[in-house]
Amino acid sequence: MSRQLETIFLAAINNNKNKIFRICGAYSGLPQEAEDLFQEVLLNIWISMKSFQKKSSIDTWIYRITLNVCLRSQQKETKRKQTILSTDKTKMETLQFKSPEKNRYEELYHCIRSLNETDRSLIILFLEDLAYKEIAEITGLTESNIAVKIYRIKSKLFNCLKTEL
Amino acid sequence: MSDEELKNNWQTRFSNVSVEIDLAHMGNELDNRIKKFERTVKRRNNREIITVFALIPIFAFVALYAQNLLSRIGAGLFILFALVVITVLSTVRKSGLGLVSFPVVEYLGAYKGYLIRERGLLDKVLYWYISPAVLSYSLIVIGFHRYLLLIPIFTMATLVYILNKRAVRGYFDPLIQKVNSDLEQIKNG
Repeated sequence: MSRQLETIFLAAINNNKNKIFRICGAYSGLPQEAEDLFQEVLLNIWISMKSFQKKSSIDTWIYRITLNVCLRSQQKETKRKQTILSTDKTKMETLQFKSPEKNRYEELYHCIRSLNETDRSLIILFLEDLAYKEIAEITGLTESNIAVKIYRIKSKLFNCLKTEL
Repeated sequence: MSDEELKNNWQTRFSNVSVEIDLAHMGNELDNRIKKFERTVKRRNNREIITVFALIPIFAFVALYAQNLLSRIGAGLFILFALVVITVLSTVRKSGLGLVSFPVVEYLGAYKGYLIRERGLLDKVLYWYISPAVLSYSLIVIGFHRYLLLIPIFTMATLVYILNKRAVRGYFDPLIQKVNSDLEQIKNG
């Protein structure tokens, strides 16, 4: 890989590492898994760098790769993830009463993880504060379709949060 | 809870988690993984190409100089078969590259297509891989009247067939079903 591409890659990763890690966290049961998935995403970004054509912003492009890699890992490991998810829930229950702030985060995390993979990807983009136009570029859906879906997923999420409280 | 509170909760809490990542360590690990990945792909491709080009002169020699017609036909067929296998494998592999940067819906559609093509290869392994290999090898062996040498090739062929069918049922069918259901959910859910 050329020096120029390497510089673009490192800058893009530096700017987006928190977002990438948050998304990986929502698709992983354990911290170690999130790190593995994070690395898998970086590897895919690196491999795809040569095909980046600047048709969209690099951030949009990175979101696409992150979501696609996370969805792919979820599809490949559905059975394994079910076991890990149950372990994760147990772990979260033991942490439940540490602090109210931590509880809110855990409840949100738990509710996001209870959504199916595709709803999860849309709500994550919404929570990352992306405009519907950007979400449309990342997912390939229309803006109106996204608005309807986000509204429905938010209702599910709020219902889940009420139940958790 | 409002939308803003929800976004704030998501962005701040998960930011704290990411601070714990050791980027220097991650950089080394990533570098190792990239090198390992590139090395594995290069080695696999080289192995296949070297095997084919090492076998071709041997079978070409049999095709040109064997005393019996059956062995000569068998060797000729084997050369054709080896070239077809290399072409088929590299075509399918190339069709899977670059998909990951597509928009999610397009990616899922293309990924499903890629998996269906790979599944098709394994499912039809009897026709494009096992039969030509067994036929050409059998013709050579029968031509030289070495009938006992048919046993290992038939055993191997049966094993390859069973393993491929098992991969279709145990890996590709559930994966294609899952990708399909994700695609349906994101489009119509």
